[in-house]
Amino acid sequence: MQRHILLIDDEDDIREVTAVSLETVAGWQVSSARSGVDGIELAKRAVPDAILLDVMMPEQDGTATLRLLRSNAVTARIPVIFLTAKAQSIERERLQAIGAAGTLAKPFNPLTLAAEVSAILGWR
Amino acid sequence: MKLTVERTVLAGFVIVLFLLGTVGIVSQRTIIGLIVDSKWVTHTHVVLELLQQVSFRMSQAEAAVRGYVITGDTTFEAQYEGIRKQVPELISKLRTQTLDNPAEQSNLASLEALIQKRFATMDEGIRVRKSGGLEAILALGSSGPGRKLSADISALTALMRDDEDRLLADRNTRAQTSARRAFLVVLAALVLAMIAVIGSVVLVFRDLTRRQQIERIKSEFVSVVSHELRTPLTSIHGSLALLASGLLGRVNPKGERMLQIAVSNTDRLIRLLNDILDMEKLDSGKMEIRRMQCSAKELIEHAIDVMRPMAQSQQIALSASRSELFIYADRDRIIQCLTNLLSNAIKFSDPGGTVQVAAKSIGTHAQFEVCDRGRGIPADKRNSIFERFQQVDTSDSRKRGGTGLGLAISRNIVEQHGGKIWVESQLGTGSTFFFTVPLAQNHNPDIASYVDSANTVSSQRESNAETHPAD
Repeated sequence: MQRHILLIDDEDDIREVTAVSLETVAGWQVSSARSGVDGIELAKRAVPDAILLDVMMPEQDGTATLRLLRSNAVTARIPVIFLTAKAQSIERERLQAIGAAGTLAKPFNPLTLAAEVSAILGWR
Repeated sequence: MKLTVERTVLAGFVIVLFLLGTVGIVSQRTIIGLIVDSKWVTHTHVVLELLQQVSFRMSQAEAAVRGYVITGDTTFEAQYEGIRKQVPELISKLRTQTLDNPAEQSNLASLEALIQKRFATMDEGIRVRKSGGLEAILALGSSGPGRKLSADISALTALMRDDEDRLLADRNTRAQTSARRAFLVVLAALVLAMIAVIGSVVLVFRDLTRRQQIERIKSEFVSVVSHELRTPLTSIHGSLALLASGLLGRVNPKGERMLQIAVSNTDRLIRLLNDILDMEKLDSGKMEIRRMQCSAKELIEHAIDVMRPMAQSQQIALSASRSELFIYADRDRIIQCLTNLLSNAIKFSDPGGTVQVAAKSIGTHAQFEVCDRGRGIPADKRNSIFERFQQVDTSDSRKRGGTGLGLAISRNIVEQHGGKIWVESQLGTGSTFFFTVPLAQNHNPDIASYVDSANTVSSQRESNAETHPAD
C-alpha cells in the first residue's frame, strides 16, 4: 500500500536523502517542508499518513510544531515520529510524553528506515 | 598543571610539617631553658641566704665572746661554742652549692681560712680571759688581729654576695633573651605555616574551579560537536548507503568496492561519535542509569539480534544459553555492554567460529559471559584493554573498525550498576569476558519460578539456540 509521508526538517540534504530512501526502498510518496510553519500548512492541505519531524529546527522547533499539529482538528490525528540526534532514553520519553508516536535516531539507516517507521506505526 | 598543583601542595605540606617540627623543638628547648633558669634563681637565693647566715653567725659569735669577756658569764661561752659548731656546717653547704663555680670555690676557701683564723683569735680571747681575767684582756689592748679579720670576712662575704647577684642578673638577662628569641622563632614559623596552608588551600580551590570549568567546556564542546557532526553524517551515511545498496542503479565493481569502503568508514565514524558521546556522558555523570527488573535471556536475545548481521557477514555462529534470570539494571545499557562484547568476540574470531553468550546467578549477582575461540589476549593487556583507546594491537582499530572505547564504556556501565567486568583468556585458545550486575530482588511472582529454577544450578534450564550464518 502506498503511504504518504510528510518530512519536516530544516536540512535540505537530509530531507532529500530521506525522501529518496522512503521512495526507493518502500515506494512511499514523500512530501517535504523546510520549517515547522511550512510543514503545518502542508499537513493541513495534504493530510499525510504520518509525519517525520526534526526536533532541532531554528525558530519553531519540533516540540512546538507537534503542539500546533495536535491543536488543529485536521492534523490532530496524524501520527508524528521524531528524528533526533539525541538518542538518550530520557529524550525519547520526553518526546513520547508530548504525543510522539516514536523517535528515530540520526544518523538512520536509509535501507531500514521505512521498516522502522512501519514498525512504530504498526503498519504491515 | 595537575602534577604541578599536586607537587606544590605536597611541598606546602612538607614545609608546614617542617615548620611545626621547628616550633616543637624550639618550644621544648625554651621550656627546658626556663626550667633550668628558674632552678638557677632558686640556687642563687640559697647561696645568698647561706652567705648572710655566715655573716650573721659570725656577728653573733663575736657578740657572745664580747659578752663573756666583759661579764665572765659562761652562758656566753656556751652560746659561742654552739655557733662555732654551726658555721662549718654552713660553709660545707655553701661548698656543695657552688661546686660548679671555681671562682666561688676559691673565694669560699679564703673565707673558710679567714673564719678559722677569726675563731682562733676568739678562742684565744676566751682562753686569756679565763686564765688572766679582765685585766689580761685589757692588757692585750685593741691591737689584736680580730678586728681586721672581721672586716675581711665582711668584705669577702659582701663580694661573694655581689658575685652571686651579678650571676643572677646575667642569668635572668640570658633567659629573657632566649625566651624572646624563641617567641619570635615560633611566631615566624607559625605565620609561615599559616601562609603555606592558606596558599595550598587557595591553590587547590583555584585548580578545582579551573578543572570544573574545563570539564564543563569539554562537555559542552563534545555535545555541540557531536550534534553538528551528526547532521552532515546523516546525509553522507544515507546517500552512501542508498548508493551502495544498488537500489539507485549499479556502478562498476571498482565503484561498488569504493562505496563499500565509504559506507563502512562512515559507519565507523558514527560509532566513534556515539562512543565519544557516551564516554563523555559517563564521565560527566550525565548518563542516567534507569534500573528496572529485566530478563537476562531477553537482553541476550536482543543483543544477538543486533549483532546477527555482523556475525553472518563474518561467518560466525552466535550461541546463547537460555537459562532465565531477572536482573535489576538499565536494559539499554546492559544490551550496549553485551553488543560491545559480542562485537569484539566476532571481530576476533576466525570465520566458521562460534561465540557463546550465557548468564548465570552467583550469589546476589547475575554473571554474564561472552566466550570466543579467537586469538586470545596477552596477560599484560588483560587489564589495560578496559582503558579508553587501549587495544591489544594498535593496528586493531584500523583493521577491525573498533573505536577503542567499547570496553571502557562497558566497564563504566557495569561499575555504575555496582558490578565488575573482567576477562579470562588463553593465547591461541580464546577469551571469555565476564561482567556482573545485581539480580532483581523483588521479582514479579508469576516469573518467580523461572528465577528459582535458574538459581538452582542442577535444575538450570539450558538449551542452546544457535544462530548460524546459514539460518
